[in-house]
Amino acid sequence: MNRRTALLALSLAGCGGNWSNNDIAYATAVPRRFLLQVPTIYERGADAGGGMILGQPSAARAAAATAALRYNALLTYLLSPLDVAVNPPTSRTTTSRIWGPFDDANNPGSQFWVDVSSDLADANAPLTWTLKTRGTSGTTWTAGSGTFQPSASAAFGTGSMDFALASVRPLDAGTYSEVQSLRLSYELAPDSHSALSMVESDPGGDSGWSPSGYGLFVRADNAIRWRFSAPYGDVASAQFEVGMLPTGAGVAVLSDPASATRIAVACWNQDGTVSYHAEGSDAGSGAVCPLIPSATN
Amino acid sequence: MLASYREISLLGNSYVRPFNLLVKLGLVGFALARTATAQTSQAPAVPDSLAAPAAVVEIAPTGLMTPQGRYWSLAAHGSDRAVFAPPTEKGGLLNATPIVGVSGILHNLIVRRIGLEIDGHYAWGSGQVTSSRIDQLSYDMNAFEVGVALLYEYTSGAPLVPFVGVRAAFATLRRTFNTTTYLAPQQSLTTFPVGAFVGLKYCFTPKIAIAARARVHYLAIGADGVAGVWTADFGGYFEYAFGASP
Repeated sequence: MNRRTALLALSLAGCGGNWSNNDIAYATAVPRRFLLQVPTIYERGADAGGGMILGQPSAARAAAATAALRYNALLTYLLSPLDVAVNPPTSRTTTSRIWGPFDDANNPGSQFWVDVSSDLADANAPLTWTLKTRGTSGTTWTAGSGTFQPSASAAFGTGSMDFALASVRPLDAGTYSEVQSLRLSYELAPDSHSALSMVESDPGGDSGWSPSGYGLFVRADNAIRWRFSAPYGDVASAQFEVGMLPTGAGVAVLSDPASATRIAVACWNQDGTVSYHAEGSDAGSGAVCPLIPSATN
Repeated sequence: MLASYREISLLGNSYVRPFNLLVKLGLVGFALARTATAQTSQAPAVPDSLAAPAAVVEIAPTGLMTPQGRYWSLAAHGSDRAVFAPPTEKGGLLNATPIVGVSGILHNLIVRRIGLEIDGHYAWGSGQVTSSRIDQLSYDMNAFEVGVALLYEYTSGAPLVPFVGVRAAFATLRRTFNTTTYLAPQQSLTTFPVGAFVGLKYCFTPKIAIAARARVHYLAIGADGVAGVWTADFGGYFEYAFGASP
């Protein structure tokens, strides 16, 4: 085939562009970051301090916002590379799509890429993805991996992911150096989404990450239920069950996981000031406070 | 200089004075003009060319070696484009769309009744992509096409003019998804549709006509295991001829 014939054949067959339904199907393997993060409106009041007296800024709300801010920042750090899937894939095979390699702006000389594979012919086959990085030495690490099992309604389903920060530490030693790994599972439903995650930090280190992990449930109206553990009073790791509404009002039920006893119930108004506070095992259930979105509504 | 000398010599004068030369040139020009007028008046009542007066020769179907002028016409098109493939709602890649366009047609190109058409078209639409992995992902799309076609008109001078032709085009398509659920980038496709068409034109006057036309094209895609799809345009156009004899 001479050059002119090849060009003609290329013109007739070939087309340029990225017109593909399957590209989008492969991209469903990669979760949208905002679906796994606490909605940013609930970061308001983080690190603001506060108290327990009526009319004062609520300390419970500040603790919830601080935990959300920190958790969101970690997920932004880990999941940002997956955002490349918002672009057309770089290369395709019959069972995979690859985005990248791209230069890592935070680590000059390094590159990363996202590889998604699945047998789309099987409607029930899960999608799997890996996030790989390559340093200046040419060594390649798997920074993260995950799976997504779509439900009958396609875009929704359940997924999980693992990030092994320790493995990429030679590449990016300075960021989240105390974090060993993040394991996260999530469920996307038409009217809500939820995520459970566990941050493993260096043994014995005072990392400040929730020892019991994080639980997030987001209702369609953006009301959330937010679970984490943090120091409270004499309790080194109090369990916070927080319900927050987009209006700004919220409630926190605090308990001691070691003794399985209730520590306190705290509520706050739309402006973040304390509207109710009671301590002790008979502190109530928070029914006096704004509606708490439960995991079932 | 040699050529000039010979031309002058043909006028039959070895010694040419400027005044005599002008007179003789005028006489020759007048004679040529009369001859051309006589030939034109003997030709059938078919449109003459304003843009390109060069004569062409008919070779079919009557075999008459009739001088015939070229002329241009402009047409405004409107069609519905059907796709012979599953729609995007059933996992397909393209949906039916309306399509509009304009074209310029050079009639009597080289031989009578053969025309060259150059066109530009715009198509638009919206729909949803649904597949085993995608659920009701809505999108808006548009497409631009420029094409060139060769057409043959079966009759000339009659009110009804059947015609057929072949066409090749350059097309660029774009679709934008409306979603917060999916990571769905804007998608585009550049391709080269090739096809054929058949139609029937009705001439109200030699200058004004309407036509019904059906076109089929093969549109190469090369994605998702689909090499390409066949499309069909059903529509019509309004045509105005420049320079056609009334």
